[in-house]
Amino acid sequence: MKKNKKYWLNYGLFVGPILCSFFLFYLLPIILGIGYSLYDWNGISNAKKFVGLDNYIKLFTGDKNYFASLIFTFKYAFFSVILTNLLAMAFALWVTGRLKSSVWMRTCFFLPNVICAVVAGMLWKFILNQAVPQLGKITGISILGTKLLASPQTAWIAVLIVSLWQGAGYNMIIYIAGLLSIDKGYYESAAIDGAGRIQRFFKITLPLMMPSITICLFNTIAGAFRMFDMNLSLTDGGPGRATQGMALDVFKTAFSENRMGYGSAKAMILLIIVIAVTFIQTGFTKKREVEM
Amino acid sequence: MSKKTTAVLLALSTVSCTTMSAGITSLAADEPVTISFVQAQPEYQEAAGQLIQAYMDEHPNVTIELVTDSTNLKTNLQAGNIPEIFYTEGYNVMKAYTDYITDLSDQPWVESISDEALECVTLDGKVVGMPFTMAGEGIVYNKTMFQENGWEIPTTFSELESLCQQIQDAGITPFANEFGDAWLLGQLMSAGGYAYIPDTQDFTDKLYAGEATFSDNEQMQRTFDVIDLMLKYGLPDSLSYGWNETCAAFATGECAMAFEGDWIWDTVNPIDPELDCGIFALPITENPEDTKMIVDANMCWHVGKGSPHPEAAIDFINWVTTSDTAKEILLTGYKIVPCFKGWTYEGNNKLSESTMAYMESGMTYKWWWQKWPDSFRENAGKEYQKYVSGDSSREEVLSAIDQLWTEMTAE
Repeated sequence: MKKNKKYWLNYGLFVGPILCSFFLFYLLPIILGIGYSLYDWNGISNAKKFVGLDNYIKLFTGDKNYFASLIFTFKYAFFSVILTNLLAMAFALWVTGRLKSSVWMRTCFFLPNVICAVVAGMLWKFILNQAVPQLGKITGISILGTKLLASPQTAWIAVLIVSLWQGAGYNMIIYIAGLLSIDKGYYESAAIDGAGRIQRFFKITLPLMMPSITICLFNTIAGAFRMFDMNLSLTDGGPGRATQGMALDVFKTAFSENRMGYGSAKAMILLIIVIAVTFIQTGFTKKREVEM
Repeated sequence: MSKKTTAVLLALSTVSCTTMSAGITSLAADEPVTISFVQAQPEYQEAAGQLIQAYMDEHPNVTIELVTDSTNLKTNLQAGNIPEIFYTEGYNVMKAYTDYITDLSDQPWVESISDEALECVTLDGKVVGMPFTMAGEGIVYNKTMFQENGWEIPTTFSELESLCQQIQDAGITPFANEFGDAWLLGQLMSAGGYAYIPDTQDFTDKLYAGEATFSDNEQMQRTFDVIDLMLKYGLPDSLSYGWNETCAAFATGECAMAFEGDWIWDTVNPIDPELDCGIFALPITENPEDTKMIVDANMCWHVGKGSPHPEAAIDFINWVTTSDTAKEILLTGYKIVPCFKGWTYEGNNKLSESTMAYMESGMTYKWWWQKWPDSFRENAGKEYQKYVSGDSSREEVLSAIDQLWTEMTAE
């Protein structure tokens, strides 16, 4: 196709608006954020004080609470990504299998994803603080009596549970699409050649699912680092600072503490971390994608 | 349709879909004067409607538009869309808005502001807002339970301890502790220690100047004693108790007392309309004369500097503070605990009645947390949560909040 003026005009007309929106709502705020992070500003008044890289230096040298939230976010992201994907894959296999419950389970597994994250947080706060302990009292099962949200050591498990409950369904849909696109012929010829079910899974299903896995891993990693609304409604960073995720920390610093410059610096660091992690991840999984 | 038309239509629809909605309604150009009034608290919506309707009836050339969303306030101020009337919590929070609030020191109603409410709205010696309502915090207690069992209101710390023992002996849990909410612990830090510091203003100034620390202060130790008492005689797992859980526990009679403010009435009353309750001041010393309730104004109305019609807003506020119709609506509709001398409380909040009683007898302390840096209260509260969970000792908590203070005041 000749790349003449008409081609570029059509190209511009179709891609232009989206590119504009992308620039206005994604790139521009990032650029402005970098700008804000170089100032000491409270977000409201007109007086801004230029401090250069002071905010970043403070982040890396003085802030114990920031490191605590970094560690919590990484710990949460690690477990959340692995468990969400394992669960989603398991559900997808269940739902595309031959069990009678498949159709109902597909709906059941996806339903939690439809609830907005803030509502899910409030719902689970009630369940974990009041419903489950009451159940424990009635049935006498002592493990139900422990309140996960009451202790700093166990609160992160509650956050993990809610995120698994919500996230597994969405990724399951992607895995279902991936599973259904695999040609049944491969399984048949492998079965004829004498491959068992587990072998078939690891040698045929998994390699052919790599594109779906790339997408799901990308989604879950970015989502885990960005987790905010569920964090806010379930624990609000508590008890103490045990479950203060990085995104929540940015919000609180910039808006509750009226330290827009410092909060913007934290946001920039979060951005760099997410870009780095997802870059590494997509590079790794893309290499393993198999074209049949 | 040709490819070009499709492209243009797609472009238009994309752009319109991605536009965000504006936060403040724009001013109509054809009315004589229109002012915008930010009123985002749901419990005051109806009363606010009545208030502005009454004003508009008396002043037909003025239209007041209620803006019910205050989340975009900061953005709008920055963008230059300054509303005529908006509210803040006064003190330090208000300080951040300095560029946008008008000096109201010359207005006629300034002299009638009660002493307890005056400091909330004063910035650098100038009155910059109209204080709206007073609120008090202390130990909320179940009056019926107390009367049935013959328990007395304690005025010293040891009386409080023996009261807790009495309540426990009667088979009832004395306290429900809302320690899941960090801000409450920040307020307890004040009610159970900071407010009792002799010459508190001087101490606050020294803190800001870096000449004093929390770790060295003797009254701050008392907060830990209070927390220990509340944990010993309280419902278990207090870190899982938030607002709803604590109000539910108190209203259903699961506990006899809780450290709360008079604002929980709106949550507690619907659960049990028959509940008779009151607040008493939290005693932390052995001297009954020291025991005062912490009462302060926590909301004030400001006139936006740089808004299109500030004079109309000033007229409106003058009317609100002087006209009888307005007073009626404020006292019975909004049900405020009054900030002006000579006004009486006319609402049905039994807890606010206790607040008024302490105000009238002059036994009040300020809240003080509003003079701390923004959200210091919440962040300090998080350190106290670590004490509650056993992860930090008293010294560790105090040195953590000292460090927090230095960091937050360094700018």
